[in-house]
Amino acid sequence: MVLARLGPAASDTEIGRALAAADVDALALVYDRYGALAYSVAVRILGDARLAEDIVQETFLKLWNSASTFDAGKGSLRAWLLTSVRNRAIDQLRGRGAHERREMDLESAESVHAAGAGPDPWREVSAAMERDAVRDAMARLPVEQRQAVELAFYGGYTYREIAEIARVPLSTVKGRMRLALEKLHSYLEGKGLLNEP
Amino acid sequence: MSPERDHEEIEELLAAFALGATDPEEDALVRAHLDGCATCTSTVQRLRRALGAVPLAADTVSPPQRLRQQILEAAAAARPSEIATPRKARVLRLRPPRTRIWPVGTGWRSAAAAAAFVAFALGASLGLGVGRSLAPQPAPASSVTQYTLSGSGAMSGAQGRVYELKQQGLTLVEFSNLPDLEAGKVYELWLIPSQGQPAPAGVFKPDPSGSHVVVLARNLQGLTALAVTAEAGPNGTSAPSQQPELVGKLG
Repeated sequence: MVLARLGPAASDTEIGRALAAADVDALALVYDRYGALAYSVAVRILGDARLAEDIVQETFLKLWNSASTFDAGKGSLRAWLLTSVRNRAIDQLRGRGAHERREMDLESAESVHAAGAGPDPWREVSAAMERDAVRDAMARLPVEQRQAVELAFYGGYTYREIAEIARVPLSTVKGRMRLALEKLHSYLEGKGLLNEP
Repeated sequence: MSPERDHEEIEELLAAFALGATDPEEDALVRAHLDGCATCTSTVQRLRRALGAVPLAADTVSPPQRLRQQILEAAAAARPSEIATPRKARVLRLRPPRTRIWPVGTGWRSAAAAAAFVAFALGASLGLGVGRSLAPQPAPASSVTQYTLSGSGAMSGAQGRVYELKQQGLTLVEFSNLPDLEAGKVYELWLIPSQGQPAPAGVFKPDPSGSHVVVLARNLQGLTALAVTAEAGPNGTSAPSQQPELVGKLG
């Protein structure tokens, strides 16, 4: 049984194989590793603990049912989970049905190789340092750029809606989003927290 | 529009696209452009890598202890059929069941009609009608009880596997081989009590393979059967409009 060989430092590839083999302990490992983060994102978006719970449960069961298609080479479990939680929470927030959701298959999960996603006996320490670095990077952004990203990411607003909210031209919002993400990428890459695919 | 101009306009949208903040039409335009533009594809990948870090900055909130167990119990109950026949992933909906009260004396939705529905459902589930007898099957874990819904008539071949997680107060119903719905129709799940009228427990549309999973935030205490009918969409009805052809007796 794959399960018996999975340790706390198991890689996404190893976990993916165990999930595909219907190893519930692998799912427990994923939850222990990323459950609180996924829940935190859902709470941040929804502002409702019960709804956040539902979204996280839905996402983990989706992972469970899609595990056979997971390819760690195409993206990390954490990236898939957080993207999926975010998208589902936004759909809930904005009253969109599942038919409107851009469902993301595990095999096409965007590649986000932040440090801490791979095997790492110092995972907790690494994750804390990573979190601090990202918070620092976000704090360094000019407030209007940070708001543009956060309104889209946590609020599910389109750039047109953000332009109305901020009372600025559309091109300004598009520019702010681009600048924010480019700066974030540059900062995190400089810290060695982003691996190129 | 020239290809260069087209590229420039799409290029301006890439960050909003990566953030999921474009309109559907723009989203489609960008996707089409990415198919033939390595430069923009590379840019989107770079922006998404940065974006992937954004949620790490969210303030940490500890989930309730029960969530972990709920997820693992639900996974243990839902998984077995997936192993033998991997298929397209399904979306699990965890909305709590609706709590509408059964209306009294609403034309054909009279108590008599409801009683007939219940009688049919129970009769069918007992093998007295078109349905088949159901008995609890061995559960994968002591805290999980399984039942089966069997189809007949127009729903012949359809099946529902019910997993009741008593400790978690959660029930999953995994449907398979459901026939295609007529336009404007939805499937509606009914909870049939030992006394009284069927209660609506949610509407759904199966995926193209006829599969769907409904999750009820409750156990099955006080119920004698589950049934499914096709009703007018998108919200279904508060009382069944027809006799059910997919029924399962509980216990």
